[in-house]
Amino acid sequence: MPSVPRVDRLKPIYTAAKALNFGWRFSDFLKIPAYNGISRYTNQLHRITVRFCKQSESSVGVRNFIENQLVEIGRKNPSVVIYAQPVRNSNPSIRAEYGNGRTLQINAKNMTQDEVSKDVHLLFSRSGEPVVKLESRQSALVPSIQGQWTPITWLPTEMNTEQLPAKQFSKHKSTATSATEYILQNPPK
Amino acid sequence: MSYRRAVSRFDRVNQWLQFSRQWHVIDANQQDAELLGDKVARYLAGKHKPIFHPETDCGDHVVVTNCKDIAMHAFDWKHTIYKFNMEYPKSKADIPAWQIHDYDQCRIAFLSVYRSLGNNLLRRRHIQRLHLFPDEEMAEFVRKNIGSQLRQVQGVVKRSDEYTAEERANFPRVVKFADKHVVDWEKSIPNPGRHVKPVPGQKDK
Repeated sequence: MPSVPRVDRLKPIYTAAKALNFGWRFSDFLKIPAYNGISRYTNQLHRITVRFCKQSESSVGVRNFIENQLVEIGRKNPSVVIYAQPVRNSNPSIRAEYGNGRTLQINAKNMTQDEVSKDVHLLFSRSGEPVVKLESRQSALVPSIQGQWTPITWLPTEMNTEQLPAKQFSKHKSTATSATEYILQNPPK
Repeated sequence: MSYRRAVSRFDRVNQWLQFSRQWHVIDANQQDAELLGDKVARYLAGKHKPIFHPETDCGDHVVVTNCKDIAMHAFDWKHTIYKFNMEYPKSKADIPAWQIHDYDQCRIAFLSVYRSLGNNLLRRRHIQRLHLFPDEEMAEFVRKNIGSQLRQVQGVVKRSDEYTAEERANFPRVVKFADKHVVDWEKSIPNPGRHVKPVPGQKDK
């Protein structure tokens, strides 16, 4: 134990937080993975695995979904690999794998067909980025055209050639008409 | 998508310029002390900037000239009492504004700005960027630093003794006097003399 114990623990905490991938980042800006949509669009969902049981009651919704909608969804999205795994006595689950390597899994136990359909739609529409609180609802790919504000942004350009202080820049501007100006503009008869 | 790009030297200089401190100059000739203090305090605290934040110290320097000609509303020179109390014996003082102005011609402007900065811990730092001069003369380094000029808070009116005879004649006549009217405003009232109190017990005759 040193005479003055070191109480600064920011570095170990930060190192440990960085090791947790990005799950520790609670707020972030909106992102487009790999500039998606700039020149071409690539669906970020790469693979969906639907796991169900052929005879258990908790997989009724998933089975109905597979019978009625899964083939049509696969036909509409040829870029997504869809697996249907019948495993005996297993909990039904839907696993999605995205382009950035992130995997999402939803437990579909005792779900109805509509709920399974909604969850599959959610998995299709996501980009794989974590759900975080938004720092700002707006973000742009290009910087501002107008440029950033500086103290000389709104100064009149006539100040550049005058030796300050000058009378012309000091005069008070007002829209009110003083009594003297009124009499001069409307002289009495 | 948060855009990431290398910060060029031009961008870096612009960022330095964004957080730089401007030097403003304002003329206090015939300006109301309270209105002038409010305006100067905003620039000292940096509240006129879009980058303002309470934790960002981005105030500008303000140079106030012609402090000896500062104005006050109506009879405030006599009725405004500045209270000073340092909680020591015999240190409490209530001084009217005209006495302070006689003592120091820049103190009235200082006190009005100090009051407008608000009762917080930052105003000692903000008031350090205030530069006061009694007339147009100022230090050379201050004049070289000035990069902007603020407009006055109210118009400057001409005094009645500044009007020439031609301007008086050309001004339209608002009131027409009768022909028998005698304009004797140029003649002052004769001095009635000092009042002499009668001696007690003796009638004044």
